[in-house]
Amino acid sequence: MVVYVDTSVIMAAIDRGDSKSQAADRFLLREREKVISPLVLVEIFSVVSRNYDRLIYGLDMEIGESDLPAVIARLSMRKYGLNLACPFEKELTIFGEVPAEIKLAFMLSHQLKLRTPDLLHLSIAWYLKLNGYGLDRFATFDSEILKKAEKVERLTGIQVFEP
Amino acid sequence: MKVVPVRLDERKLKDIDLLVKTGVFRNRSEALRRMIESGMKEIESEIEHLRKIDEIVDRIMNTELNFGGILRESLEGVRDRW
Repeated sequence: MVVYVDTSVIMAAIDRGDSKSQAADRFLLREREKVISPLVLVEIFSVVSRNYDRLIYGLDMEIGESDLPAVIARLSMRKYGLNLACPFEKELTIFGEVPAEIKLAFMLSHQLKLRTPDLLHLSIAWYLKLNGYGLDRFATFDSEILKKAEKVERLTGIQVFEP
Repeated sequence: MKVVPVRLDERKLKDIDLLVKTGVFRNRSEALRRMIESGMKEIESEIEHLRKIDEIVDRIMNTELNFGGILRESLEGVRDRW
């Protein structure tokens, strides 16, 4: 079955200095079908861009500021066989048309009371589950999401866990 | 030039045949080649970008990267500000 990989797991896996690096690396190499969403890529771009000076110091080669986020994202995708899922359609709400995963986020928000990115990752995973992706698990190191694991499983049928 | 087998649904094949029948293209092969060329032109800059990025990735693929845990720490910070 397919697992949604949260940005926190990828960030840990590629950084040997992270306390969860080995667990993340082993998990990603062991799992067969792994998906990420565009939101994961945006978070990688955001985090890498904000830390360019510190990251480039740890690399033994010159990589431009505009290239490093894409390098880290592509490196993660290739090393761990992460597939990008981006099948979203628009759906009608009382506010007008919105991407389908946003409508699901509206539905989950009052029950989960999570931060916006956490809520969006879960609603994307739920959308993929509902649309035949065979997705049934959500891997994360995010403590806020892990705290709501039971509730998420009850509402969406997706098992949230720490690798 | 090389020969590549391609699967197409009935509808698309019918449209291509119409273009051939009306003389827009000489045959199916020319029609498909021209459409692929035009599609490739649209994503030319992305292909170039991918080539450049993946060349760098090839060079660091087997390197152990150690950023001292700042990636995940920074991610937490980014999420907290939402």
